Amino acid sequence: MKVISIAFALILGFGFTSVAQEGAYTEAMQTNIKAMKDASGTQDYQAVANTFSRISKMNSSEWLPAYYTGFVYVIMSFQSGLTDDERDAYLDIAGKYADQAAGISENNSEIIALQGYVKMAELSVKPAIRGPFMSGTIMKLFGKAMELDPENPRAMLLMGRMKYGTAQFFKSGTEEACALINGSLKLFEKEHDRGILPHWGKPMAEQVSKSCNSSQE
Amino acid sequence: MKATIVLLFVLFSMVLPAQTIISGTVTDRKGQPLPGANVYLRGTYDGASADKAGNFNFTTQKDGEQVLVVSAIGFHTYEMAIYCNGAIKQDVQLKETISELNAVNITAGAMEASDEKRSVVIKPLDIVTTSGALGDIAGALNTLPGTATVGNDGRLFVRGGDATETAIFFDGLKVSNAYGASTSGVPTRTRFSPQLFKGTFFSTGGYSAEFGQALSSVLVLNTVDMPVRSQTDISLMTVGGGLAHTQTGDRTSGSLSVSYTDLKPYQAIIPQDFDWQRAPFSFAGEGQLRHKIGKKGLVKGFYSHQRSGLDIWQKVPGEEGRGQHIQIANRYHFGNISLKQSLSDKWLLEGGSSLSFNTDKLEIDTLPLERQKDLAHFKVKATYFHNDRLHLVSGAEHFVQDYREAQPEQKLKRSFRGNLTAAFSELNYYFSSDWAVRAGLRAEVDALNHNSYVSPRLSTAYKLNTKSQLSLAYGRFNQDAEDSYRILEQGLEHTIARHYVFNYLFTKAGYTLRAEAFYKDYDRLITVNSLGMPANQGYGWARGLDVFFRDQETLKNTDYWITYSLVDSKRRYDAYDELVQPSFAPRHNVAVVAKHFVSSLKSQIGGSWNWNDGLVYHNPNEGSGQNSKTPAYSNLSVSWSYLHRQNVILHAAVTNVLGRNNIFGYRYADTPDASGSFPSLPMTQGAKRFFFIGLFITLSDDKKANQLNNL
Repeated sequence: MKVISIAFALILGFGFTSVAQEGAYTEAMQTNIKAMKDASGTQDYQAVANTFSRISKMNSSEWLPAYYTGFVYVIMSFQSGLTDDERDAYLDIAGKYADQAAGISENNSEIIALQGYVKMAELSVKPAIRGPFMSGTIMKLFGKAMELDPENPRAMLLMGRMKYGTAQFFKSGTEEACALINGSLKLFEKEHDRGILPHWGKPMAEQVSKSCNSSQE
Repeated sequence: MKATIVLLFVLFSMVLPAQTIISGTVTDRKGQPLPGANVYLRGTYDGASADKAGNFNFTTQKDGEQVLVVSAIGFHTYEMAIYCNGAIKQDVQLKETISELNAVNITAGAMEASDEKRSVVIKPLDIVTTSGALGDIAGALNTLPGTATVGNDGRLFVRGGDATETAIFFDGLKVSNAYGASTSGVPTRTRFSPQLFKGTFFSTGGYSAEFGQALSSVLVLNTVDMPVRSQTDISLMTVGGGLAHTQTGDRTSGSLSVSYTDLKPYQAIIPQDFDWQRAPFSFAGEGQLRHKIGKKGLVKGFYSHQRSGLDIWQKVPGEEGRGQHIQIANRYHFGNISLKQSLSDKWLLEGGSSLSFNTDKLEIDTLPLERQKDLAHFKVKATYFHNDRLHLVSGAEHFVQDYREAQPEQKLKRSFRGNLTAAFSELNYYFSSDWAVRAGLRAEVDALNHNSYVSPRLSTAYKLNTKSQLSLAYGRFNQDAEDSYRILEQGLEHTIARHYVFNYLFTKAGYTLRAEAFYKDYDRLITVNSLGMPANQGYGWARGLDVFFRDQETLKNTDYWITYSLVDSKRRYDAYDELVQPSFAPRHNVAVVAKHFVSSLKSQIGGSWNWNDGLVYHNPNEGSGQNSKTPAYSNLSVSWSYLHRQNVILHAAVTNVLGRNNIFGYRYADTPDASGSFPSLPMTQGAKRFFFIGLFITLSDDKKANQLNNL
């Protein structure tokens, strides 16, 4: 009897703490994802990134905290008023977190799309100089992300944006790019209740899709 | 009983402990607040970010001994033990980290073309899109400060030094005969295509102890690590064609290319001023393999084989007829294998070897001659990163060189073998992100002349503010005498140079201003006596300054740079028994390069202008020394690249559009004619202008690739 109750207490105790931790992780993620959506300005984003980074240290086997930390640093690099070096500094960190996430979860479409997004942001710092040697790598990453998960709207959207930018640079047709962007919109429509999984990108797709439609009229 | 204890324990652990409020300010060492610093307790979710004034405050349920961690971008992470018992006020000062992005970079003498993020004066793409260079690396570098264009030679001449004073390295390993075989007065080109390289480091003085056997300059060419996609490149040009294919995998990639160039059809259409029996032609085949080892390791292998030839008549001053007949057949092999591997976070190991084999078969009039030069270079280099402020680079290398000359008809032969061993060590230290110093020492033992050489190198850089910096460099450099001298006298000492370089660099988004002053003194230069025997009796100096200004901002879609180099140089060398200005060192040098992208035409239009005030030469009718000077040299070239589709590029270029008749000096007869004066002939260009048209097609899966890099 004693033995059984000890065992029972232990199982209950351990089970409870692990559930509690799991719950704390999800809760922390949910709270911070909300904070990310509400954030405006570098200060806010830095706080959000810091929190995601803290969660990633606590939950080192989860890929999402590192993924989101990297993602927020990409957003920060797009803030206005930054010098090229400052943007590069943010993207340097973004790349490290994206790589960290990739180390936790291999062949993950979302992470590979983020790695491509980081590089695409790096390209946009100095497009004329970096374009020729970086665009190949970026397309390859988005291509792989789409291959791993054809239903991932972010991978398709980013590929579309990349092709759109290239087409504009070379003054060639944007049909292929726009087909991808509109395709991603359809995938976004299908996306529901992702919880703490990545679910950003729909407003971006709508915006780019608009410029697609206006340029084709 | 025990169960109750356990149960109590479990319950207790769920009871909420008291709150502790942790607050404070995060600043750097100078007391400046660090907004955005991440402050938290290790092993918890509890933490906060510092606000604009560097203040933070957060609450935790933890109690007792905890570890407070503070981190911020660009600073070392700080950890300290704290005791949570209600309220804690803790201010934290963080120490800056030195990283590639914020640290000062030693720029004295150096011009780096790299795709890496740090600010560089030029980019690899600039090398290939410079008009007038026609895809030749040396041609493009001749628009940079410190160089002089010697239009009838084509090689790199740096700051009063001759072409042999620039050493060329391929993935860190020496290349011998890096320029194609040619004869006097016919300009040559670099053997390697610029598209092979992702980065170029060109130094015109004061370079690191890693590089030896270079008196004036080093050019370090680094190949692309891993190509990103499989593709096939086709090029069709007025002077030949090429085919290349690259296949990429996850860990391994390989590429093969063949090309054939022949100026014969071109010369049949465009009249030439040179008297060609057979226009220059060349065949080249190349192969490359790269393989990743582990996470960071990489092995690269490269092999190139080239065969080329030409046949020309050169008039002899004072004589009738076509003159001297020179025929050259060249065979060249270059192979290189290099390895890079991180042993740990602290150690980086690099090494490799290169082999160059060059055979020239010449026929001068009817006399056949053979010349063979082989060079083997073995190198190993280890870098130890002590911390972000200090790293140490040490290495050893060995060179074996064989040189042979033969006159097969008369069964005459002579040769020598040189063995040279070197070791180097260099300390790189950052006092702060604003002040760096590099101190190195290089030692060489030459088995041929039984001498050893020790060369100290020292340089430093100081950042004045975010936009400008100063650098200083000093170094002693030595180089063995040219083969043509060593074959006559193997005990020749190395020639010696000392460099003093002072550099100012200003960079602002889209603008670069670089000014450099230098002094270089030469010792033990090779002189030749009346019997043609060499000795180390020469000396001399070169001093001057150069200015480089680049603007990518002011004019829309336009990028231009302007270079001016002043070189005041005198040396006693060759057969001169007094100090003279060398024939390859014009005093005033100007280069202007402009590129304009016209998006409505899908075209890049480019122009470049090289000018110098003329080359000095010896006129035996006017007495001794370098007593005469040619008219100023001027070459305005234009080019047009049209992107028909993303993977189809049409490129057209014309050199010397203005058709200026440039003269590079005069050749004189050995003996005076009946009137007592020495007859002469001017050394001219092969043709007034050179026209080039090429079509470059890239086939790849994603159709986005193009050969922009080939132009």
